[in-house]
Amino acid sequence: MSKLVFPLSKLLRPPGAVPDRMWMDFEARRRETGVLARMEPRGPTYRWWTAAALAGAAVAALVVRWAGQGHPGEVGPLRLVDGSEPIGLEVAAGAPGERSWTLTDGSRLSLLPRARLEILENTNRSVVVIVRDGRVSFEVKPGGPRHWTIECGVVTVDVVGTAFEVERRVQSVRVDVQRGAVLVRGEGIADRVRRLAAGESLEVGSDLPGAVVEPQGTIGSAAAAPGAPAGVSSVAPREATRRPLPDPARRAAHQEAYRALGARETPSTTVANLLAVADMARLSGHPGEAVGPLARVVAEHPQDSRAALAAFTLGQIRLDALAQPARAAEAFAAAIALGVPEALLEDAFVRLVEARAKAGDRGGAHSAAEEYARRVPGGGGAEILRRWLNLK
Amino acid sequence: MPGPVLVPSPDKLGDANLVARVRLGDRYCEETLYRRHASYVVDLITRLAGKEDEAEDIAHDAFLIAFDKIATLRDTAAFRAWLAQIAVSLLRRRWRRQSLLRRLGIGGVDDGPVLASQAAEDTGPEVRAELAGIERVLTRLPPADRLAWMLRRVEGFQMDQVAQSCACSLTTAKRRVAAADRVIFRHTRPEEYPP
Repeated sequence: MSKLVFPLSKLLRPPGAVPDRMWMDFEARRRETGVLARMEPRGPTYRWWTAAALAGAAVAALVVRWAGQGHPGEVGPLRLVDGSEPIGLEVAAGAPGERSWTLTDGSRLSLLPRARLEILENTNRSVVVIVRDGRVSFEVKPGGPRHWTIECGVVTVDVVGTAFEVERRVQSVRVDVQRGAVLVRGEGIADRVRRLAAGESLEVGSDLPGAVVEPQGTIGSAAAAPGAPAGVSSVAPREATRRPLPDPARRAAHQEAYRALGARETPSTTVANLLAVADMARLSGHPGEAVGPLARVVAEHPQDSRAALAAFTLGQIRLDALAQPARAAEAFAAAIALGVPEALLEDAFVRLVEARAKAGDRGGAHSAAEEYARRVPGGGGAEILRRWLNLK
Repeated sequence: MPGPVLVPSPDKLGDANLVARVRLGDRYCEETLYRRHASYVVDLITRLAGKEDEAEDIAHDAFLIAFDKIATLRDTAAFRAWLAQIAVSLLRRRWRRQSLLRRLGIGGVDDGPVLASQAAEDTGPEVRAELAGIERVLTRLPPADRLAWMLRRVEGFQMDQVAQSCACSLTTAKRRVAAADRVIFRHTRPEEYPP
């Protein structure tokens, strides 16, 4: 006798939570689709399947089959324009200058002297390249069928159609984006993934947190600065190069400023501007978009006196607006560790206990309450804490 | 000094309210809609096509279209159903492309539908075995019948939704579901559907 019940979805697992990676991939795709629409008349690949395109594709595919040779760039692996299939590219250290190779889909790879890369995968749907050494410039043809993945030491760069550079150094990797957007992943990056838009750069050391830096004139000029030590400090942005926030922000017209700035764009890395962007997002009713700038203040400027306040605000948003008690607890704990002002210390402990209790971490909630009693003896939050600790 | 943030959490809003806010340009409500429904769409496409790696791609295409055309959605409370129809339409488009490529000798093999591997954790082995059996039977059905049956009997779509998703008339959709019922229920309920 069948034990099935209909519809069968009643027997299937419910949909799971959406990982942040998926949302960021979608955002990157949406931006790239917008960029592609502005740059070229050719639309996304699925639009290829209009009736006229179907007929053209059928003819092209027949030519492929009968002629017995690869259709440039459309089917099978990418090839160099001379017809050969690349497995690795290298420019010797003593070479006079940059060398470039053009692929049959119009993409272009340029290597400076001493640069070396290998192609690990090359199919009609994906290309995986590993940069072994030096600086490589990629111009990936937008609108193509292939997803490109660049492996470079501690980071991985995902891209569909854009122009960017990757430089692998002894103790760090640098990614500079000239056009379009890429996703950079790596353990040294906050939240392990970061979207870089045109004009943005990221340098990740083997033991340094990633930092998004301003473009310093021509790409790579910061890296070439004489005597500059390797690492984040050598590319710390200067105030004078900052793109000023739109005027409405100064009039606290948050909604207008938010629209003028555009969602998910943070023009610079100074604490002041990051906090201003976070305020714009929060006060215009977009608290989720304040999370990124606030998290960057905490991760990239922990020595700044405002980092503790940023962590506290981040905790408030995660707990009250986003219902993320576990992440909120991390933020409140960071605020306390970074030295939140005395006037907020009691609030920070109370909210930390609340967040841990809501996250199901009763042990953590108790420890926080004990530390509160130690650091704020006779504090007025004791009653509130007792209520959270009795939470079932 | 930062004060408490007093904003209504979009997570607590229904789809109708979220759609209304998205129409006004609220990007955070867009993200909330995405996070609420993305996994469902990915699972739906995986069940229909068995291609987990492409399911996310199709889901993202569906969201791009949905957000672009959200002003045209009449029943704002039915965002998920509308999104699912868009995703199924995109899947059918890919199937037509792959079918053409296969006829030209350059397409890949079609993956079958997926049910058993998506069973809930507390599902017993007998039910899993039945689901696996239905998977095998489904792969032998004509693709149009298979799609209509899965939308109706697996996903629980109403018949008019099945017809819209399959781009056919209601009569044709009913005929396809009935034809698939006869084959599949003969496998699962042989006492009711003797050969």
